[in-house]
Amino acid sequence: MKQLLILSGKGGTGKTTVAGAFARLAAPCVVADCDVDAADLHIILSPEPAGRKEFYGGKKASIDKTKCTSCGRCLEVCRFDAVSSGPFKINETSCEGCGVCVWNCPAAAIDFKKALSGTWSVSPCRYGTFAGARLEPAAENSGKLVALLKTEAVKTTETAGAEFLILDGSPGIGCPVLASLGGVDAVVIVAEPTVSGRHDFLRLAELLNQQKIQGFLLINKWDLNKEETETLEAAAGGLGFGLLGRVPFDNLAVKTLLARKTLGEDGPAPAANAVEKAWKILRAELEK
Amino acid sequence: MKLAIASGKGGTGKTSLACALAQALGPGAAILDCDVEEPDCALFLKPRLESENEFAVPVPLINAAKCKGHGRCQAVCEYNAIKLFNGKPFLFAHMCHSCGGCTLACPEKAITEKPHPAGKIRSGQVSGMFFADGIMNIGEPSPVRLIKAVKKLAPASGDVIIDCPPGTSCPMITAVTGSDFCLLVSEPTPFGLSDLKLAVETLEKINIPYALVINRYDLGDKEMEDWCAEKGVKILLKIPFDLEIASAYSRGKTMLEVRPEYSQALIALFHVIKEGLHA
Repeated sequence: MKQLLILSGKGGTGKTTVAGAFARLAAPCVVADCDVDAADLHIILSPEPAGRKEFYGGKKASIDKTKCTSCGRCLEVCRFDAVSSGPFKINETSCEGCGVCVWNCPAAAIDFKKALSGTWSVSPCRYGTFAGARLEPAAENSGKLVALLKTEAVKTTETAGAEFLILDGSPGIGCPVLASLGGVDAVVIVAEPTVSGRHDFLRLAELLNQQKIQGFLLINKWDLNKEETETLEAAAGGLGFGLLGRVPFDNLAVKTLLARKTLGEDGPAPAANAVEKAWKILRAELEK
Repeated sequence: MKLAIASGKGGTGKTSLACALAQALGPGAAILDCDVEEPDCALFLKPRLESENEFAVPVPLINAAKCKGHGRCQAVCEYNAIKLFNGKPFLFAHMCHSCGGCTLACPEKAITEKPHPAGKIRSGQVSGMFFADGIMNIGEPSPVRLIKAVKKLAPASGDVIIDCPPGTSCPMITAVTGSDFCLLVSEPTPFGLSDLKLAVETLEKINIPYALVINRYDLGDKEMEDWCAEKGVKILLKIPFDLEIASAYSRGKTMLEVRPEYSQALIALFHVIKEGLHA
């Protein structure tokens, strides 16, 4: 089994579109959407409905008014600005679930209960099996939910004997991205040839080098700026990245998305062809 | 007014809009780049930086000589960041949330704290505007504290624009919290709409008023506008796809540098929000 993760650093560069196309090309495979706080891959993969399992990632504190003596100890020990006074109250979205207020409260007036962080499911889709999760609105622990989803996706891939596990990642370089990196064979970074696209690519590339993970670069909308495309490719090459080619700006790509299909599903088109070529290069590289 | 610019989905034009809006407002305004994982505002605004400070978070420092191996630190840590091996505590620094619990819990007072570098904070000026951003160190898991620190730099008076990170979880919520209003930027595709719904749900939960700007509105379909009409979400501006803007963006220029005519529309949009809040 090969685990492939699609990342970008900067948001909106085409991660999900590429992940969907790779899923089609790798079928039958297992696909998991690790962008749990803005999950979109299910929109173009239309997995079969399945019962969602609940995920309790952490705990939340809440003050029992009948026991609170208003001593203010909770406010004093909380480092997350989650306690407000008069009457003493805990702001659920700011609470990090550290529990420090709970055992420091002299009146034992603070409850500490497991909080629902999100839900997840695994079900068949037209390219194999899809694993998806959804963080509750304003919930925490996206990293833990990503880790759980990945564990389930790996188990599914092993049971199915599939050759590929395709993972669609989150933007940024923080905790959900770190959680999605564990155990991957390679990361494909989808980047745009812009000043900010290059800046964000370099930060993510440094993270991959830090973690000693093989990276590949795929440039989307390369014709937006030819000089930036060349600069980006040179920078990626210098960092030991494999180059998967250039995807042109293509209005048909938006049309495919509006029809809730994967890129290339409706036949050849400029962007779809470029992604297919990228997949062939990647596959050959991974077989080396 | 403190105005947060957020989106749910990434790459819809948050940074572009935040920078252009700040430029349109001009001298006296402030812009804070709170997308500390991938901060890009400085690339467009090119501010004159006046200060750059290391940002650190406290992590436990265990004095092995004082430790008697009670294990209270392990017992209180909700993040499994301290584990006892042969009666001696061992810290997994990357799991630590800097809550300070172990320091308070240790009966021998064997745990103090040391600063752990997590990023840097920069501030400066551009065309009479205050600028600040945070840059999270690569490999750090949580941007939350750094975002809070950048927000503390907001000047006491004047209008403040906050460029927020994508998504709808802790980083976005931390950046948006405390704002008077949140302007959402999206694009009318199934992905854009799906993430817009999540962002709206999140803003409603944390009680921050919001409205929408639709970017590249002519590249998608009408579903987003239909949903907004049904849900009563106000659309304050629709920006068409414009190759000139996209190309300027790729070279690190804002839309106002190639389409100065948007300045009036952005100022009008800002005043509509402000007046709406005071109404």
